[in-house]
Amino acid sequence: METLVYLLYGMLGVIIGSLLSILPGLHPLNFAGIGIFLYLAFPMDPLGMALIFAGMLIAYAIVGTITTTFMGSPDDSTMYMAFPNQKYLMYGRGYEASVATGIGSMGSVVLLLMLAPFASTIFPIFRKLLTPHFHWVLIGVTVYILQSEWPKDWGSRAKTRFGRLKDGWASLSAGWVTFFLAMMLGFIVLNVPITPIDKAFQNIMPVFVGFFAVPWVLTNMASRVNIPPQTVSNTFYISKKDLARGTTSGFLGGMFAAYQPIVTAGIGGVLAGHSTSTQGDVQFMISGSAGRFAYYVGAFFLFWVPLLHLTRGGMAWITGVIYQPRTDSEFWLLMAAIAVAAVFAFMLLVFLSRVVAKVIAGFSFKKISIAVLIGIILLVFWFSGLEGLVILTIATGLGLVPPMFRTRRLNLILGFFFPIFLNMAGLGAGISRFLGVY
Amino acid sequence: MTDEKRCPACGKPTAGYVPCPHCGADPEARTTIKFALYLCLIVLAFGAVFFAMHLSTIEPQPIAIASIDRWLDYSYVWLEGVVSSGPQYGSTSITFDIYDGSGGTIKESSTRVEIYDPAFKQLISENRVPRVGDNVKLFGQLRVYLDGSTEIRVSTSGDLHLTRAQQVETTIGELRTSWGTEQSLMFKRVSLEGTITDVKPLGSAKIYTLEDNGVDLQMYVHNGLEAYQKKSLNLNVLQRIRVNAGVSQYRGQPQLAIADNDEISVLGTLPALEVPLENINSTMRDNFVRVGGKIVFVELEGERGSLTITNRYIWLDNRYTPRIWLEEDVYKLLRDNEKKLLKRGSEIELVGRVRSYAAGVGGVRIEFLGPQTPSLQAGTYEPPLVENFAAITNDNQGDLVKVIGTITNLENVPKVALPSDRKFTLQDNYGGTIKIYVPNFLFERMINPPVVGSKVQIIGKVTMDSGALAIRPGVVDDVRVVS
Repeated sequence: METLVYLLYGMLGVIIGSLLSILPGLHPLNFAGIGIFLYLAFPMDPLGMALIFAGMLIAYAIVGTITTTFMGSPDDSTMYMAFPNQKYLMYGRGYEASVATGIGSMGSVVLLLMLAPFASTIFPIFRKLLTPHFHWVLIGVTVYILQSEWPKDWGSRAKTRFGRLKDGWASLSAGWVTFFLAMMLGFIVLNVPITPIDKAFQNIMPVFVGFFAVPWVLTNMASRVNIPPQTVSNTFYISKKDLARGTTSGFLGGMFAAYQPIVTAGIGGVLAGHSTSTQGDVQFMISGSAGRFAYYVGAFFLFWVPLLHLTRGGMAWITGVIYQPRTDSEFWLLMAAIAVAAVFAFMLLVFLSRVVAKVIAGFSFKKISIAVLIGIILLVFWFSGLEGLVILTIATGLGLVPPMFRTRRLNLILGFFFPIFLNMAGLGAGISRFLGVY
Repeated sequence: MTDEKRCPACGKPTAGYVPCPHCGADPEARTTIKFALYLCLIVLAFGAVFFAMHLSTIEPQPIAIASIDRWLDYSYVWLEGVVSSGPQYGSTSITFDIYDGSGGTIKESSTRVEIYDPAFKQLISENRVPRVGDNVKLFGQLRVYLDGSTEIRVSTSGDLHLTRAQQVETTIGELRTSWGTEQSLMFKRVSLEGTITDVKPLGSAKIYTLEDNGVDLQMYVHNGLEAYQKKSLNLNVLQRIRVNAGVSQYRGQPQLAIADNDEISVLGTLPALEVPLENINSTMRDNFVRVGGKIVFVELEGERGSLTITNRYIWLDNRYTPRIWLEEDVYKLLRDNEKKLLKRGSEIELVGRVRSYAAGVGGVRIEFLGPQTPSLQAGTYEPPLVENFAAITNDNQGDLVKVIGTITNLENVPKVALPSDRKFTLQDNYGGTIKIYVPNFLFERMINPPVVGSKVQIIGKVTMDSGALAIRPGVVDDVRVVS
């Protein structure tokens, strides 16, 4: 029973993760870097530290939605649900949106806990079946995401066939251009050391922040709106059907993303949303939060599954340096810690959302956005130096292309990671050499 | 709904519209915070169950070695088994094999274990180095290689749980008998006595042969062991020793595996028969004898297909006594000063074993046994000088001679993919000639090989080559360039 203390480690991780999650622009990859600093500064029981990491991820997945909802600073995983959350904020239902996304995450927790007893049986089978096909699955996913974009309504139907064809392909072409430009950036950033050597482990952080957080914040700054008074109620006008559907869809997409290398929660969410016909803002919000939890915590969970031997996600890789799961017992301990930490994180989410909802009314969205932008720039500078700011600027330029041309922001991340798909297919080195970045 | 109705979600008037035209809220679709609380209770219930499962599975669950496949490459696992060979001591690690009986064959059920520094030095200091027969449960990273072989790497000494094996008192005969039936002593620890009758040095270890009542058994001592031991092994042939060791298996045969020099204790030394060399014949086959005499000739033999020297024959006193056969690996065990003295002219006394050898003098040869320290005293000897080569006839075949002359011709005798043997034509002062046959493994070791026109002194045995008489030197020093 002395191992009960390990559950407290998970809760401690939730507190640390919650503090970090409030900082806009931070990503679990940065958490992993911070985790190293923590371990070096406070050497301790590696299992305890691993459970702190788990708690940090849980906090990021659950408590972190406060930033998305109230401050409008999404990352690649919350981009998917940022728009409905902010819509709710503008309706004065920010608290409701925040807690509803938390409920989605808790639904994902339940599904993950239900999956746990079967994990060591089914995941090794998946692994053996799927690993040889990763590269073409990823390329298939890329083509699907690029080509499945629905043509946007530009306000009037063109009179000529060519005009209609042009309109039909406008968003698709913008998506392909976004994808191509992001791929070029990917070839450079993933092959050439740009950030200082001591900060190399954070080299893609400025890219992610530039792709998602900064353009969103800039858009918010341009919106010139004030946040209306927020309703804080214990009743949410969300149907249980939407909750169930959104949670299931999000969990499927999140676990797919957790399992499949390179695929992120956003991409998994789109695939799962399409395959399960997810509809409406509520389902998108719920599935987004469920997928985000499944993606981050699910990837970490895979690292612990007995005999699976699968490391996915930055936090798992970092954890692998200091700790390796040793027994089935430790896997069950992780699951217990996830359960306790998730409940703790949800309670924090409810409490903090209530506090933020009460104080945020009347705040200028522009002022909040400026503060967020300054915070983001300082964080990027701290993590990756001046070189990181240069990358951030370039990535922001690319990140502004999708909202301007009304195409998916996911194309950015697909393009950025496409060089890795090509590496898996054995083509990456040749192309990098051709581009002069090898 | 009436005009006064307000949306319960955003608080704005709805004018009776459902859902709310401002925020889209549908009052019919409601979920309360209680639902979230129930969800939390479900999650906590799962947590409690998993914590109970955590408590009930504290003991590590090793996987079966036979179940390891390539998908487990680089994974961290627990394995449990009995140590089946080793340990082999390296400069930065120790390795040994474990066997868990999970597969159809020993190979399928075995894997190599590698423990790196500082873990292995800690194991040494704690006297916890696993030995054949011990049971180990260990945690480490698996490697699965393309050839199907596996290895687990242990990085901390705490990841190795060791249970020492009980020792079984037995004899070499009993062990051999049981090996032929149920192999009940395989991978067990035994205590037995035997007499050292030979050593076979390998690149990484020495394989001693122990005999007891006419039954023999090999004993494996890894060379790296010496570096980590306080007590050095000083074993000699015919010593009677007691060995407490594990029984491993090599090529289907039992082999004692030594993990520590303290596992061997010397009980005494058996005497060898002291017999004049000329009295040794085939009736004394397999007897241990102590012989001595003056070395009159040393003759190297090379390996087919390479320039490696495999063994040397030592002629004592004259050409009519049985020769001493010394394997090159055993020769390398001798100390440097012994090697220097082991040459023509020295007096030697050694322990050997009489073996049948059809081509040998009297149908026998005497095998120089290792390990031993022969008695050696420096001296000189040269066979009689033959000034006129015409005096060497067919009757002299097998004689040792010394000749001096000038090389008038050099002929290469091709060897496939190797440097040629050399055949010199040596001319004496009377115009007579004789061939000198120098095998490639000797010629290639000469620092200043003779050339046509060189005046040389050759000591060698008279032999036939391609139907003609020739003199064949035994070692490099038998060919000396005079001018």
